[in-house]
Amino acid sequence: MISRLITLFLFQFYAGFFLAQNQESTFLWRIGLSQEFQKFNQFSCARVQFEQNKNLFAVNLGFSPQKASQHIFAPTASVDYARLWVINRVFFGPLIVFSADTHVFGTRFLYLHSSAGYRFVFGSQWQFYQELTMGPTLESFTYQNQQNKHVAWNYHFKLGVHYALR
Amino acid sequence: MRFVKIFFLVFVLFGCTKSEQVKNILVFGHAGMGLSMINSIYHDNSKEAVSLALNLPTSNGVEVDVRLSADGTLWLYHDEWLEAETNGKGCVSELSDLQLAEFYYLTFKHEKLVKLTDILPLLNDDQTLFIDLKHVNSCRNENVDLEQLMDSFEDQLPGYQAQVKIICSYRYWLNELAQQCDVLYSTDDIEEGKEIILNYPLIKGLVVRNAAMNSQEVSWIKNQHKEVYLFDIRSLKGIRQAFAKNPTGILSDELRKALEERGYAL
Repeated sequence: MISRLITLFLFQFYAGFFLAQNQESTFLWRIGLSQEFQKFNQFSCARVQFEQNKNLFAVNLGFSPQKASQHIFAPTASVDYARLWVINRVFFGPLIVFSADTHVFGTRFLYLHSSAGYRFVFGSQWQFYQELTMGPTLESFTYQNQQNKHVAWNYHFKLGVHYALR
Repeated sequence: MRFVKIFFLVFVLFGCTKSEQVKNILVFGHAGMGLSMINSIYHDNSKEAVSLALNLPTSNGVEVDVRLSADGTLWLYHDEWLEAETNGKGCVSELSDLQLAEFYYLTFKHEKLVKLTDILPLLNDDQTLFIDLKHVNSCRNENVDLEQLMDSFEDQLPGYQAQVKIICSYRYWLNELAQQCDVLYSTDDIEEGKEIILNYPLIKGLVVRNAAMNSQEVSWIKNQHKEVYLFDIRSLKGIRQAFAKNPTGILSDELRKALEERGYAL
């Protein structure tokens, strides 16, 4: 399942470049902020997005304000790919996300997420977006020489804002 | 500007310190990793949930709900009726061990029902197991047999009595149960709890819903040299409210958050 998603992601990503040879391609960079809610945590992220035609590729870096309130630093990093179609100023399309987050509490906890869903975007120069993805999460930590690995279904609900750099 | 500097200095100096009071509060997983928690990886009272709860750093132990089978074996199960959570039907007290061994929770992972004896080896030496005793057989609308229950404890808890505390909400069994293990009385009526504390000197303390008790009542019980544990704590806000009351311990449905809120440096 995951390998198929990766294949689809790579196909979509490179297909955009090949098609661009025969079309007037448009490149655009956006920066933004987002707030993500998921099963185990919440994250505030800064984000850089590269757009070419309908293909959107983004990198997100952030931390968990919830863990920060408990004096624990929990950074997160994620990449996502979306292909959006536009109707007036509204964009909508499928999305896949791969992300990881970690924190230390007695030992290092590592969470790996992969998920697929949709993104809904409104606006032009300034864009507001909402996305919902679902997929498996792997939690792993080792404590007192005992390795713990747990897989669970997870949801990722994200709200964010973008600004286009022109 | 000076105010900002002073505020920043105070924040740095005191913002990251947790009080000694909080560090001394014991934290246990409620029914494993939480009772009926939608964001829990495993179903409550499953072996997987108990194992995870006991493996988390600084976990002081776990609380489980226990029912007696028709064969006299102690099984982990919370609800009165099996059809509420599993592929089985009826009551634990009416079914044999062979029948119960076939049942699993109606979750994605299909965790199986588990015997108490299967989770005892998961306990570390410094951890405590709370056994919330479900004393009613709902199929017959009567209490389970106390004598059979006492025999089961004697047979199935060898070597673990020192690490086990029994939670009972049926006052007429308190003295008998206290002969075998530490016993706590579970109630939401604080006045009844105070009366139990005064009239049943053998019990170790009370288990009370967090919302039903304030800090003065917690202090009163601790001043009687009894323990007090709070439960039904399902959010970070609830954890902080419970810690502020300074109980002996909490049975948290959000075990990770509760442990992290208490802090690692014990």
